[in-house]
Amino acid sequence: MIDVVELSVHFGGVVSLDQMTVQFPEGTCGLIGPNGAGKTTFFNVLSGFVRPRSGRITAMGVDLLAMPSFKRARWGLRRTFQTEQAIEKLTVFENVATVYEHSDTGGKSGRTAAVEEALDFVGLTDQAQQTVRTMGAKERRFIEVARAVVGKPKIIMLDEPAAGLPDAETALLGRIIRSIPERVGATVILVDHDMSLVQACCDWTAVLDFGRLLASGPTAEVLRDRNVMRAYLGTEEVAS
Amino acid sequence: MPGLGEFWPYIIQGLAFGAMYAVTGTGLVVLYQTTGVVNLAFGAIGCMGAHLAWSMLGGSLSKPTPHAEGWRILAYPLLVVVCAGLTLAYGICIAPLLARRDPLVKSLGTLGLALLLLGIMKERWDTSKPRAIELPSKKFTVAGGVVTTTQLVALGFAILVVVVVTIFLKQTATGTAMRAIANDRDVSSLLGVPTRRIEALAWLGSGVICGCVFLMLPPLFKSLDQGTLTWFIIGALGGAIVGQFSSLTVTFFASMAIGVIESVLTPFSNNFQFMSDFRKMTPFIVAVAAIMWISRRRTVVLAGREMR
Amino acid sequence: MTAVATREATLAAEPTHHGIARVTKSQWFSPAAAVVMFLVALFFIPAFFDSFWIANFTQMAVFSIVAASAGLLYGRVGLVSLGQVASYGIGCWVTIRLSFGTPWPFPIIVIIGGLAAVLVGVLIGLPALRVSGLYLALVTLMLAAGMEIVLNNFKFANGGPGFKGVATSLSDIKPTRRPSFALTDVTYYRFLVVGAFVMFILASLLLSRKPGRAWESIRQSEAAALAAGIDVTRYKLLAFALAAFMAGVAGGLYAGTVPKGMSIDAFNRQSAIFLIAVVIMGGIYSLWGGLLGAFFATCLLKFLTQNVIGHQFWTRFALSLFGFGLLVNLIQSTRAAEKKGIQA
Repeated sequence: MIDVVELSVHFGGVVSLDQMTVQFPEGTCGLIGPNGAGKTTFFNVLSGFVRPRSGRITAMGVDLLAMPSFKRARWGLRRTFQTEQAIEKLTVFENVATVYEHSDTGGKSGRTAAVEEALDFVGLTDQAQQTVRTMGAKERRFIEVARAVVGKPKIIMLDEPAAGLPDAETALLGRIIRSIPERVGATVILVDHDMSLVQACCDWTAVLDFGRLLASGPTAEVLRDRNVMRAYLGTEEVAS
Repeated sequence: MPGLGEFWPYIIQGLAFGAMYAVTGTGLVVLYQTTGVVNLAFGAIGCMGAHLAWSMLGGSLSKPTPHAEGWRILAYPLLVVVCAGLTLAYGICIAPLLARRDPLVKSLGTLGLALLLLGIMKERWDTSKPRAIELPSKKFTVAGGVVTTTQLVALGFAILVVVVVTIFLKQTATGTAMRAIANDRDVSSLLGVPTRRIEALAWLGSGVICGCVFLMLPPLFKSLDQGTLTWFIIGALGGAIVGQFSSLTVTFFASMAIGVIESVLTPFSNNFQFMSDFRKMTPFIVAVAAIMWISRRRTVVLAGREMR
Repeated sequence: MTAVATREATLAAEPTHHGIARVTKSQWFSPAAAVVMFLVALFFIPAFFDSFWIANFTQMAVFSIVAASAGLLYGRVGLVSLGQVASYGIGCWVTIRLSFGTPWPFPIIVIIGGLAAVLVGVLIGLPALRVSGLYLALVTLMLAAGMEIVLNNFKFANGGPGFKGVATSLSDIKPTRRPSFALTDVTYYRFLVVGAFVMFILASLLLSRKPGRAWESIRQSEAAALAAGIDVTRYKLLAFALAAFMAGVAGGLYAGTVPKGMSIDAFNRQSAIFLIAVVIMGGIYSLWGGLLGAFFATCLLKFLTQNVIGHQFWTRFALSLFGFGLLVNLIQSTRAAEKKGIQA
């Protein structure tokens, strides 16, 4: 469970997150909201790239904001980026191995097994020795997911993992994401604009608007919530 | 321990050199803000201009310190024209080819220019022979110390430059355009700001400043030494770094301080031999201190774009 | 000797499952090529060339280490340091001083020289590596300038007394000691070739393992590296330390090539700029680039001097050539990146 208490972020005069308070349960959680709602800012705070003005984030009894950025990752906080960051000049195997060898639960032993397991999970076993530079955008997104699940992660943040993927791959990705909590034991927070993906993967969803929590709860209910629709569409007249 | 009266000439000299650092720093900062380039060839260009002027003044092996006679006096304005021209030429012809790269790569390009000019200078003017350029200068006595016109002009010029540039950037349309480009080049371009023209103007301005600085430096140094002149830019970086390449006011005062400290340490070399050389490391020490201060809160670089 | 081949070797050595360990031909080319190069340098060159050219190849061997150190910082970690000549100078000064002041074996004092360079490098690196790449370049440039001042003041030891060890009267000046097993020019050249090979292997070992992977992550995106759990500052410092050690050792080895009266020309501001031009022209990604750049700067230049135009013209004009070469290189790489449609 991830406990966010009164998180506020100010960029100069702009309030990006406004006393955001929410509790993410275990499993796969969605985080949605219109553009500029603060979703990526929240991820950046969690990653340690943005310093909040106030607030606390605790998970599994650990005060995450008290740790420097890379230590959170070593503890078990993983993240994918909107522009994929798989390392071009290394092979798929090395990309995943790098994350493993810098994690607290990782190190030298068991590296090959852990990496193979992660690659198997996303279906990239056959491309293990390929250099990422030679691979297409679709496969790179799956590499990112492999990097996120390798070893024993505790929290996985997925930032629009399906952006640019055709329907078939999106569905496959959705199935993979949905099975993460069970197979890997991590809590997943999924940010995406594709509502069908969010509905397919996430049992629970939180909605941000103007940096504040607008609604949270079972995904189906939240997506039917009038306030949520108004935030997205600006009107109460919505086809249900 | 030297008394205060003995320090006076060093303070004056320090103010003069600090002024030159300040003017150079102003040129560096404005150019960087507008184009993203730290012009590390500033010194090489100025040195080239100074040597050409020296030759035009009639300098030769037998006349290492030429005096301007008749038409040769045109060598002085020629110095400024050459510096402005070389800088502008680089800015128009080569800089645009690197425009899409990050500031570091763009600045490396200017190092290429510096090397290019250095080779030509070494070939054309033998470095082992002494040379000098003088400006007509009188000596005054101010508050018990001797001051030359050149030093006063240098100081006055620095103040003038900072004031004029600050007013220019804040009040004129072109200056505002420069600040817009500095803020966000692509958006400015979309808004109709003639970015290429403004950038060319920034290069030209930087070149004119270069010429003026190198008109005064050889007399202040009392010699025309390729090494000292070319690498003068390294000392000027100190002030610009303290100002974080954005604040002209901070750059000005930091540069003046560096110049004064550097100079004031000179009399101590009578007591401590190593001081005479190490005082020249003042810009470096100040820059490191500034970096330590800036780095106390780390910046994170997101795949090339800086996040402040 | 690229890291790719040794990386493949490492993976193949681990207990592997079917399908994972596949080695492509091109990757095995590199260590074989490196060994061949080493053997050619060690045996073929002294047999074929006269003492004039041996001296040039000696310079090339030493300079290739410095060039490779700067190249690996830029090409593998994304850090531009204009201060590698400072490490080069420190290593040289310490080695010469110790060669007069102590009876310790030459290889030991060269390593101490390298470690002294590491000390200074890390001290500067601690603040400088946490700010932008541009500031790092500028501060390291100022470091190089500062080191020139220090070396100008200290001068190189030549058998005299005191901390600096500089003798004032001509009769007290002694030549720098060479290792007992490498007294002649040819044997010293071989010693240098071995030294360069060892340095390149050291770099390759680090590049092909965990540090190399961490560096590649940092080079591509520091944020993503942090998000992957990499202690970016520590790994940058490690790279800085490795580069300083390599350049420092090179400086120590260089000390033995100048019998008396080491000048500071190789360690001044101009050399700092010249070095980065050489490195970029030789190629920053592969360690071979260090060799190629060194070749341009030493042997090729000497060849032109001998055979094309009169002597002094080339040594002075060489600066302009390399300045031009640097510009061409930067413009070309910009064009190439634009063609691929990536933000360079």
